[in-house]
Amino acid sequence: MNISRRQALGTLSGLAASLLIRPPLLAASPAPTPKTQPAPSEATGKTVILVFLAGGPSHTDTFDPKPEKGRSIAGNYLKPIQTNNPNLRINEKLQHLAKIADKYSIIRSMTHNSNAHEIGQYVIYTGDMTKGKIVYPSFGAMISYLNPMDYKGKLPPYICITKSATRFNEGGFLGSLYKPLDTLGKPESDFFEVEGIINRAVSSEDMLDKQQLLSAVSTEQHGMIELNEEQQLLEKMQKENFDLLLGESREIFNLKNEDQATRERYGLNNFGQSCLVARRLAEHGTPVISVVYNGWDTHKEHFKRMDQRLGTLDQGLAALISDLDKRKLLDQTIVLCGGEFGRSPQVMYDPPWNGGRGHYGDAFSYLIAGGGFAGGKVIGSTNATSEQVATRPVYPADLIGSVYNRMGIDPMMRVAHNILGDIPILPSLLEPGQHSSLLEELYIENQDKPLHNA
Amino acid sequence: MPKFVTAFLILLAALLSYVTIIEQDSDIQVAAKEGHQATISKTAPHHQRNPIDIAIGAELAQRGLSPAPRCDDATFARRVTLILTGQLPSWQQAEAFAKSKSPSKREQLIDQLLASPDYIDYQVLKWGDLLRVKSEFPSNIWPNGVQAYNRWIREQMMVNRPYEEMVYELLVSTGSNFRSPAVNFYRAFQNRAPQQIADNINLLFLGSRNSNSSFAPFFEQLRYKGSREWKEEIVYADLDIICSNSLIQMPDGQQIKLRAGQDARRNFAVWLVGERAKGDAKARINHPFASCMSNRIWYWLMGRGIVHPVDDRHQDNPASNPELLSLLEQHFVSSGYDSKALMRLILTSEAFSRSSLYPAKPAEKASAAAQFAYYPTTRLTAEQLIDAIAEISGIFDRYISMVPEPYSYFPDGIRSSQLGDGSVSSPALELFGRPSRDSSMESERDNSINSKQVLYLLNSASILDKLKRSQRIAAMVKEAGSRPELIRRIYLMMLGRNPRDREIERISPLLAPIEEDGAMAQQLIWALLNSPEFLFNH
Repeated sequence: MNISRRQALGTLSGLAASLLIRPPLLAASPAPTPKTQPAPSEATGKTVILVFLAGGPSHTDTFDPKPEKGRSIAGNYLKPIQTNNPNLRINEKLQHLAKIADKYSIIRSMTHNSNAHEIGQYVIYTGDMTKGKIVYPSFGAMISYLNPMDYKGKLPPYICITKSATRFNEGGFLGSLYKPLDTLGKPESDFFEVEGIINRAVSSEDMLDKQQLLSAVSTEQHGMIELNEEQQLLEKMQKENFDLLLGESREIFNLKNEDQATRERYGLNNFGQSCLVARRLAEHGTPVISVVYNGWDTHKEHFKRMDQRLGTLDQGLAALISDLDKRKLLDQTIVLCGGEFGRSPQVMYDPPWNGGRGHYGDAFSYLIAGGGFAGGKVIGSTNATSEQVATRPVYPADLIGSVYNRMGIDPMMRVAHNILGDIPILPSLLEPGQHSSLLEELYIENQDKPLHNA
Repeated sequence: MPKFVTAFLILLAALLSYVTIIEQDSDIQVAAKEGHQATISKTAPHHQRNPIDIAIGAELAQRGLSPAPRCDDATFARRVTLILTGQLPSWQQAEAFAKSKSPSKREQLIDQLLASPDYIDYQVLKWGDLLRVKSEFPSNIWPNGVQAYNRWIREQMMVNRPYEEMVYELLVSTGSNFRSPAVNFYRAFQNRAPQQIADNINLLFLGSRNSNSSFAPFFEQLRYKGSREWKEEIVYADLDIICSNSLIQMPDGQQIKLRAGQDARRNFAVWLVGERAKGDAKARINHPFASCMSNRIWYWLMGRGIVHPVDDRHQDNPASNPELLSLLEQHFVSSGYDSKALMRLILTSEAFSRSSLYPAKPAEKASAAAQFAYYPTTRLTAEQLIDAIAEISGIFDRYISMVPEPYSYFPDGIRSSQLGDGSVSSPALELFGRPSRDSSMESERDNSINSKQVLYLLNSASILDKLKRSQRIAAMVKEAGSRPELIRRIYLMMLGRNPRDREIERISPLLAPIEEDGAMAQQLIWALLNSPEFLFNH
């Protein structure tokens, strides 16, 4: 195990400094468990899907519309639609999502105060706002590492469709082993090539030939290079991976196994088909899946680009949530959707922006569904201009901590860092001003009465 | 075929000399038979013993450990080229080296590599890791600053600037991040509190992970301010600030008095780097400072520090061979902190030339590793591997950085080791453990092997596609003329050695069904790419 990395130089004083001398390398050691924490076996979430809108989507033009403020805030979107949740109106382009608002909840009071992409993405993916003592892994890497659901599948536990958005190293102090597998390739094409797993040019027969040749070449090298632990590990991993490459798990990525109507329901485009792959991975039991939808950094031509994107987002995301629900998977699959921040509520009509929106971390929205989170709720609110959180702030650490809780991980737990000793997995939960509280009001067991379809 | 080949290694261990006879296992015997006899040397032949080998020999003798034999020429050429330039020798270079009859060909190769531009590139990469040169989080130097800083680092390497001068310049740097590039040293620290800066400096130049509170006051005058130019930042010492402590006791007992109106960083820098020896016996040497870098250079070349890890120096982590470390330090200081000269001393030692094969029980092996009885195997680093794949196929990845502005475009054919900006990356580089430059620790570079890397190498569309599209491989196929010659050249290109008869016998029937030579070449290159002898520097 390699958690020996990433100790960004920071306050190495006092206790921390004395710990440096004897680096402990221990298994994760949980802290005392609070009452609300389900044991891993009782966890409601088995999979988490993050639909990440990279660049930062406007909150006012998605889930937090303010049409009464007119064009200065709402721009071209003056007619939000009523969803089947009486308390929720969303952007008029989100027609499909409007019909299934009982399945998801909207958090309108996300906040982290950072307006830079890289820091925003780091904070959203890690929940860490402590600024720099340690570089944390993304929540997906942390879940892969802790593996509360004891996932043993042949596919890696954390898969990103199709390419990680993050400008930081997702493995953080856990190292590269826990980073996501980026599928790359084009799920919307005839043949979805998955980097490292499915290659159009290589048939199973080819793969068997390759396996045989590699075995011959490597065996003949024994004696030229030592067969030490590392080389033995290499050979073991090669064998396991040939099993994967010749086995059935690959079929998960083959969208020809879906009927055409289903494929069309998700949208015959990169994002829609990525969502379909995400559903298939969720069925397989992949613990962490992220779908990255790029292009939300709309400084210029904002409304034109939103017009192009919102329909695609709506169709794919709504299909994903409904399909998971129909297949009885939504109860165990958490779906999150949002970006690294929102966008400035005041439309910038002046040149050079000509109707654009800037970065905005003070207030933004997230969609959350399934896996033990109740649907049909609206959490928190922003002020009249959507510029400030008015009620119930939710920090990234609150969101990620709640996901951990649902997945059977105690958000207050500590893990071993081989230089610094035990460190909390979510340090911002211990820092004032970096968290408020976990989303317990959304936990399914805390609902007064079960919610039904409207 | 004789049952054993016996190699005589004569070690002059301090005052006594002794003879060890090593019985080689049958595989070495084969290697030796096919042309490596000349290089499993009977002794270091033509020059007097390197003091490094005397120091190591003494320690080995005391522990009853035998050193591994000298590695063969092919292994040596591959190892030294990788370690100094991050690249593999081409098949032509490998062949020319094997054929050369010059008794001093290893020294010649070392000198040639140390004088090459590729060596400079690779040093810039190492210093980029240490100084955390990166546009974005967490260094946030920003692209323009990164470019200026890189150019400065490159200039230091090109003139082989004395280490102590270079460190001094970094520490007292003042001015604009664009016009005085060394100030980016102070900008790369994520946290600019005096104690944090002091801790980083303690780690970088003294190899200590501890926090030394006596260092902090020297950095209390340090200030940063913007200018009217976009992203320009001025780093300076505000001389009106009186440091919180004006009489500072340094770890070596020296007392430093800070005076009002003076840049306290200078006091620190003078203390840190000491005085240049230049034959002056009375010059004050800051031993931990010189020793730290000597140990780091040893680590870069030998794969393991004498104090290990190199950036965790403290009382309870002593040098495995104090004599050796102290002689490196003396050599470094007396050469005027000449990094290249120290490298040359290390590279021409028998210790660097040892085989990585060392059959022994685990306990003995661990002890032998700490005493440098053999050369450790290390997985190719991210840049070495990715650049090797690019060089083999002739198809280089394109690197572009669109965030943050201004965009960075890199010319076609650039190697990943030349990127110079930790923020410019690719999934493959990250997969193979390129350091994210979050800290200055050497352990940030992760050379361990994991399952995802193995999967990538076995079946990456990107690698297979490069092999398929490669005009360089196609030309190689054409020029070779015959299949046996093609196979031979591929082995030279990938492993730096000719294939052995047994290997040819074993793989030929497997390759025979592939009719087309080009397809055969791709398949063999793929297999060798996944083989341990390729994936490890050994």
